[in-house]
Amino acid sequence: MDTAAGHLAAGPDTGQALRLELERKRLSLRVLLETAQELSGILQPRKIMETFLLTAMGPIGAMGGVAVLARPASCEGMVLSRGLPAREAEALEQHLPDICDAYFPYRDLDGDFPSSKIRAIRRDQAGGDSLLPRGMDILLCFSVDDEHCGLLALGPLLAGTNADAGPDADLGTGLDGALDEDASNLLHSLLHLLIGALRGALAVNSIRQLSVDLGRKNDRLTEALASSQTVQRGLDRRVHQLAAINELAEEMAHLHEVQGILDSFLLTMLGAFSVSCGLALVLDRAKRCVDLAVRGAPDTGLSSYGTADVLVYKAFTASGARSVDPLTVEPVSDPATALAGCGLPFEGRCAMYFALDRDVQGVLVLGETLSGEALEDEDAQMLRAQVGTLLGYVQGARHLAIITALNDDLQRQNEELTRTVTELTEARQTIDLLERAGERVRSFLHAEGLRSRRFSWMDCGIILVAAMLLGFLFNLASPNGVPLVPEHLRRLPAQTVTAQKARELQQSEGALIVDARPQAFFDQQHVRGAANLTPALFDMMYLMRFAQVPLSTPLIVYGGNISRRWDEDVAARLAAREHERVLVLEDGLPAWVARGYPVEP
Amino acid sequence: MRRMLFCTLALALLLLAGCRGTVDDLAGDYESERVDLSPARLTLRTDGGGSLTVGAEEAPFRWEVRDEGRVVLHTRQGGIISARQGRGTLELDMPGSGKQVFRKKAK
Repeated sequence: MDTAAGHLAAGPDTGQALRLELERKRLSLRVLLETAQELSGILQPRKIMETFLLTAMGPIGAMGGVAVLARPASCEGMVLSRGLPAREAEALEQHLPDICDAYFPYRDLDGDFPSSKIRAIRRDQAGGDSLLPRGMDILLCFSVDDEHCGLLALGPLLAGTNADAGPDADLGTGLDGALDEDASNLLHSLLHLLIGALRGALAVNSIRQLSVDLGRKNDRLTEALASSQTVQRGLDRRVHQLAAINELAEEMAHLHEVQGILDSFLLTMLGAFSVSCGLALVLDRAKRCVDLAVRGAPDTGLSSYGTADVLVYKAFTASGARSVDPLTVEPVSDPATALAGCGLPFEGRCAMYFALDRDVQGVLVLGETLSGEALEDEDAQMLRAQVGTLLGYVQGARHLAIITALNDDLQRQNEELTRTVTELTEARQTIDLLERAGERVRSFLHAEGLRSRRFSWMDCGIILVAAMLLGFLFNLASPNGVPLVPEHLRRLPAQTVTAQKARELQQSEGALIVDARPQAFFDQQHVRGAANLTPALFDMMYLMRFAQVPLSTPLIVYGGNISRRWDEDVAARLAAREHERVLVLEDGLPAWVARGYPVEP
Repeated sequence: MRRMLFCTLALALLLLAGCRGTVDDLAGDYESERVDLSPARLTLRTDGGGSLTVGAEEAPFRWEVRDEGRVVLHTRQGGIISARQGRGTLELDMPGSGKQVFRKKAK
């Protein structure tokens, strides 16, 4: 303003010049305004560069122009050109790294750019002099931000060149010797607009990129959250399963029977894995017995040994087990098909074959889950591990049963041993008692022996007399006592008869022959037709056989020897019963036999 | 020892009870089934005594039960006559003259 006032004071020529200058300034301001308006709504750097290049070439009077926006650190960017042949424009795009090396040598300063200063560069001073088309003598480098730099090359100018301009011309006094001060200021202002627009666009793009990155990261976070929630659900389920299994372990620690262990285990597994129905079976081939637990389905006869054996065998063949090794647990492949026809009350979705040893084997079959989904691999692995735990408890229960049986047997043996010891003690006491008694007897006998040596004849006589006296008294008192004087000594001798006479009496008068000997002698041999009548049985036999015999009938009695006179006794008794003719056969049966008379048998 | 003594006593009591029942069953009057001779009556008393009566004569004796259904009659002269119990009968084995059946009379 001070300069314009000076021109007005100088005269009309000066005023004309002042008016031209003002007009030029107004034109520059309009160009700046229009350029600012053009660039204000554009957010794409390429579009900004294109618009700026078109806008700047006109006011400056350049016939061509090249605009470069690059990131020197990575030698990336864009090259825009106007007024150049297509081949040169394409070559410029291919030489972008070389342009970066030539015009942005400070790219390795790690963001230490020379702020937003605009530097004018002489072509002959730049290392990339041959890169740009000839005639483009206006070279301006500028920095947009910490990463981006720009290059603007314009020329040739329609109004010619100013070769005298110094190479050290400052931007405040002129961008280049080819431009006057006003054009240089205008170009400077335009570049500031370009830098501002590029900064805004890059900032917007950065914000957009940040937004996109943020959205992408947000998506990843959402996915991670969903994944973490899935993992959390899995962990919750696993915690639930572990808690249930922990409770199962505490519960089964107090169970001592296989059936109870199976019931608790199956109930816990159904709850832990959310399964509606299941079956656990243990088969003992040695004892031919079955332990079965069924939940959520009726028992269809699997408790019978034959059916259970078929089920276990099919589970074994469908599992990966190749031999029955102790403590084996193997999953059953496709249990619905493999175990079909085995009498399962439900369709098996997951099954485990297990073997405690060669005799004890079993199978665990689970039905459909409550959610209808199949068990995950981790669930199947955990189920397999739990079946292994079940085997431990079943084995413990079996060992406990064996130990209990052994203890019972041992206790019984102890009781028997105690009883035996008691009996032995009693026997020992008895033996001691008998030994003491024997000792006493020996002592007594010894004493008696000693005393017997002092035994005298007087003692013997006294004892004999006493014994005779006692015997005499007893004989007198007894109804069966014997007479002191034998009766046959007191009675008269019986009348005798010879064998010949006896035979005649038998044949002529029907004499009855009486055998007075005991029955044993009578049975050996007796006179034919004789009757056995012994003194011992005289009363009864007489009543039974001789009571009706006429008293006049001759009775011939035989049977006697030197010491026993049975014949005379019987003859005397018969005579006492008033039989008139009682005769005794002389010499008895031998005389009868000697005569050749009949005998029997 | 105590058990054995107890068992022996119990067995003896059972035998005594059995014999008592047999004696009660056997005691009574019997008649001979002989038809050729005069009737004979045999009387067994529960005190172990007994008698055989034929006509007006009577022969006393004592009797006891030995084995199952076997009865032994002891005469005063020391003789022994074995008899066997039948269904309502008593069969005496008379030495040298065969068996003699006596049928029990109703009370």
